[in-house]
Amino acid sequence: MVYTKPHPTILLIGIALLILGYLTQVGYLDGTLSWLGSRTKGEMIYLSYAVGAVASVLGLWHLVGIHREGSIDYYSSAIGGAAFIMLIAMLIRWFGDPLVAIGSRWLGDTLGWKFGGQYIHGMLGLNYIVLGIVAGMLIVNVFGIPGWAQNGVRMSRLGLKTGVILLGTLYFLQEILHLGLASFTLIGIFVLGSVGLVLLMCRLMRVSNSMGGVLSAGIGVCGVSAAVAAAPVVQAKSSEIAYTIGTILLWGVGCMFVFPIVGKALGMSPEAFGAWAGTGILNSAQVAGAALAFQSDGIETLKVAEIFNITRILFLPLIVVWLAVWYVRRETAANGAALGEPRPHSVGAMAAPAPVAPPEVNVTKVIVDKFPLFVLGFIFMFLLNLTGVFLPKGVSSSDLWKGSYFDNNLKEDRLLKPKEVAALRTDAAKVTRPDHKAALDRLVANRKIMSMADYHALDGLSASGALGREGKAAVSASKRVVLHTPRIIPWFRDWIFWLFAFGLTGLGMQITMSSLKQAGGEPLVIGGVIGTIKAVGSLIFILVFAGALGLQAL
Amino acid sequence: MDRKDSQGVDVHTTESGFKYHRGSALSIFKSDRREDIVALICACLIALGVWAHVNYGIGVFTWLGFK
Repeated sequence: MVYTKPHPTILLIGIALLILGYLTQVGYLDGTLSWLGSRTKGEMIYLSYAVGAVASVLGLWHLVGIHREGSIDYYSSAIGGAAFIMLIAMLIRWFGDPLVAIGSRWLGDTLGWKFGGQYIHGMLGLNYIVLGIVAGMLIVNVFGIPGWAQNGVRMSRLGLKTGVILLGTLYFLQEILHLGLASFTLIGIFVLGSVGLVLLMCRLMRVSNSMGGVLSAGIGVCGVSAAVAAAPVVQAKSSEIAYTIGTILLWGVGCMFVFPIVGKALGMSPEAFGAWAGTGILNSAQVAGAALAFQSDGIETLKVAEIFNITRILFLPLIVVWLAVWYVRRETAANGAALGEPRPHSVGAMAAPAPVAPPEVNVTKVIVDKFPLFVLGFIFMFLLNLTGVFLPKGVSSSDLWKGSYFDNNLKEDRLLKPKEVAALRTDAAKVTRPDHKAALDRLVANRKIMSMADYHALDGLSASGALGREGKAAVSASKRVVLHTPRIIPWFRDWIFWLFAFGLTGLGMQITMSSLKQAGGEPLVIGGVIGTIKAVGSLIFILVFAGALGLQAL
Repeated sequence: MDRKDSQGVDVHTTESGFKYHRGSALSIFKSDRREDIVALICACLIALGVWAHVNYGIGVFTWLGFK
């Protein structure tokens, strides 16, 4: 079968993007961008040129080239769909998102459509990520995906996985240590708890063991991947996997839209919301979607959410072993009981199967074969970052503080002004702690902070209340100029944002009504009940125990 | 369907009638493992490209005039 469907649209998308890039570069769109309040001009130029050039060249080749059956044809046919997703994501980020914000502000200011002092778009988290998903869902369910783009839409998960791996470059040791206790505690309680509860509910509702096993992994761990990993261990049928995937998708899509609204209504901090989304939402893609819906202009929420999500995936081998032992025990017991009497069964499509011999499954092999490798990729990138390879020369990862490094080679105009030095000299008499006093003396003598240790000491001094208003402002100013973000970080952040925007817009294009309708019957009831318990339970847990876990709740 | 084949779940086939001879409705790749490996390669290439651009000014974006 030849997958490439020669069609002029890919070439037209490429040419349109090149024109958009050119018009933006020469300033033709400056008035429009200013009216939209857009600050993405630079991004519009280089991304339009880059994607436009690739789409033009490959679109031309699609149109006039000779295509033969094979892997080159198969994989290159995906370019059309990838260009289509990118076009939608770009238009929404650059034009759709600002337009919705303008419309929402207009409704709020003229008709008073504000809720709790927030405009509608702010309250509902209608940013370019959410709008991209919604646009994808509308396209697939109203118009359908055009034939030339069918293959490429299936590339969206690759974008999400690449984004998660690359996200590893943005974590630093302090963050991992800071979040480690919270993530293992929360995930340990809610993953193991929800797996156990699903198994218990399946038993009470007399759902088949294979259905219970695959549903518990899907609900408890990380959605579709976990369900697929558990399937061979519990000998699940394809219909049971499909029911589980439908339930996870339905629940996950709902959570993706509801979680950010609840988080904003409760005034949750990015850290607390990330922890909640990473624990309470079933599927990895929807975790990222909710995190970016909650905070689209920064990466803090996504980073916390992904740490929790990855911790959850790290529990997968444990869950697979648990399910293997559980399944063998249950099947052995059922086979014994079935010798004398007919086995009870559930109603509908999930009728319990006839007794079969306990499976002979190599659990180690299942774990090795099915463990998501992209999680190891994330850890690899994190370890690579720890070596300092992404940092400027002369800076090591131990020099970092919250992702920034210390450098006090400053020009004269960035040193403290005489007035600021005078204010600090006045305050110095009130400082009694020796380390605070020594750091302050060095700051006054040199008009700049001399080391990272001094930075922390002055931080403590500032928080202690010993400084007056002017002195405090002087310390803040001196702190600001010595911490620098590595130049590579914004580049990685941009790549990650776009990979997620691509992946989530494409994900929207995969959410068809028929795939959601696959959820039904007992799996949907069990998934709904346990999913709600998990979501509400983890929210309460985070709000109550945030302090003990080292998280900022609100 | 081979239940050990993680990509054998084609949730879209019934609606669109589109048949996937390779991969599934969720992915273009034959298996999750292959998709993970490609994602890892892509991430490494992007990291290398960004590193080369930021540290040595090598790359398409430098050529286009972006610092």
